[in-house]
Amino acid sequence: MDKINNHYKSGQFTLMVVLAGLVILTVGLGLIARITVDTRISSQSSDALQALYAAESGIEYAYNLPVGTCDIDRADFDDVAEVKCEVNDLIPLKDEEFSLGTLILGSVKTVWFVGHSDFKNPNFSDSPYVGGLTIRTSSDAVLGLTVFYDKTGSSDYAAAKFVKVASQAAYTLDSLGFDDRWFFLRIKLISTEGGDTWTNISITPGSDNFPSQGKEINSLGTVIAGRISKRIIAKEFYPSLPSFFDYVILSRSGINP
Amino acid sequence: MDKFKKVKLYFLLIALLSFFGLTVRMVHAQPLKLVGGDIYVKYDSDYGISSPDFLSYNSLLYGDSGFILNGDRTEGYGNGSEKEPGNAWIFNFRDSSFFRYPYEFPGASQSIWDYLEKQLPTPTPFGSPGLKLCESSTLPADSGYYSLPSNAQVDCSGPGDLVIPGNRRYVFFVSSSGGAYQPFHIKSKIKVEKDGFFALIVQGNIVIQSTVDGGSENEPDISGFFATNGTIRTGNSNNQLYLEGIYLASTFELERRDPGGEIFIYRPDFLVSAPSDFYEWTDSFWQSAAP
Repeated sequence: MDKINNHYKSGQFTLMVVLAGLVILTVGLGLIARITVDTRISSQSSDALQALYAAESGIEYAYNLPVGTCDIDRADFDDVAEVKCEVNDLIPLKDEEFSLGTLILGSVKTVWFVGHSDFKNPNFSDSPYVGGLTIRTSSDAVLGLTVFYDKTGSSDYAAAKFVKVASQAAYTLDSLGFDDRWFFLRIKLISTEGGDTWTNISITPGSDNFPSQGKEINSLGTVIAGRISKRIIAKEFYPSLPSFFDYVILSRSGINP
Repeated sequence: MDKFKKVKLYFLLIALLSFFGLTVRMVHAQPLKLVGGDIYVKYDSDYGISSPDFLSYNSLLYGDSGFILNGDRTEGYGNGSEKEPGNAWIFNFRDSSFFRYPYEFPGASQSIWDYLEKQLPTPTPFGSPGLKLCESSTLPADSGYYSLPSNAQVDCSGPGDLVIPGNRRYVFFVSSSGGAYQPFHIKSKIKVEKDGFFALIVQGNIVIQSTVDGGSENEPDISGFFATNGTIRTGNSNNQLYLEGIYLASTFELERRDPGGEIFIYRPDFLVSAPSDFYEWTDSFWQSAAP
């Protein structure tokens, strides 16, 4: 009887040991799996961050480059990451809405109808775009529009001005009553309804693609070991004259007789 | 004289003073006449342009106690109007439901001088004290950025004009001398030929002498880009003064009187001939995209 009892106890003990072992094994395996996943996530996060940094550095690097491919040597990143970047013209395409970004009160966006000889120099002898365009704002706004054009084709510069209350619906600028050479359009945000200080603005070329409005930098950063990639696209518009060039008189305090 | 008569005399005196005061005010308040371009006045002015208002036109506009349009049609408040080139239009914010236009000079708190001095290349000193700019021979040989002596002026001492040739682009800075803001005097006409550019950026006031006159809309008396932290004064005279270009100042003192007055004319070609150093980098934006 004692022998049976001992065997029973021994079996019970063994079962308990086995169960305890299983529990420990399960917990251990879980911990290992968790640690492995965490490590992988951590590694991927780190790689993703490095890839993002690499892509950002590509953008920074390409800001000063002309249009074309930009090559960045892998050694610049200690062979940890690589960057592939491209600098392309920023061309609004016919019938496609093209974002000019955010226009804040008092500031001006310039839409170029002629090409540029370099980033800061528009080429006014270039053949300009001919045709209308559609302007959209993200909210109701009063826009001051000034088209600078050549009246006679012999550098006889003139400016046609409009004020338009643009709603989110499109406003098409194609009926100026003249079809002369347009050089550029300056869009000024004069006012918004409701007191907002900004609006998003976009244009859509009506009859052809516009000339380039700046450059688009496309930068892909990749961490070599993890093959994790991040892409950043930056748009940089051509510089333009500040808004006070629109005024014949700008007084900060008043006009007195 | 009894007390009643004294009171009557007192009122008579007030009435006379009011009458003459009003007359003087009316003589001073010449209509501000503009051809093209925009005008912006931040604060109240004696011309009745409330702050901050904005108006523009492609024809002639007279500003006095509100905006009076000298065009072929006027749109309602808040709508502005679209016109064929050559016609006038106006946008009037009075009673408009639209938020008014809080224009600030670029850089917000910066003065006009500070902004332009930072934005543009460092100027090269040119000329000796007492420099009188007149005719193209008195100008630097090359286009560029120059700083003039604080007592320089545009003065032909007789007949003659300062003419900026079409192939020259000058930007002149005139800083104060030892903190004293000396006015820059313009005693002769300034003409800027097509494709030329002339900028005068002054820390003190810009004073146009009353003897500068005789111009027309096609042959203005003064042309160029003028910027000052102080005041632009047009000189006390009964003759008209035609000013062409871009005029930036804290205050304007328009002193030409009836039958004269000031006529401001916009020069769109200055936006083409302005040196690219005036260009501001516009904002760029980034976006993350799928690899």
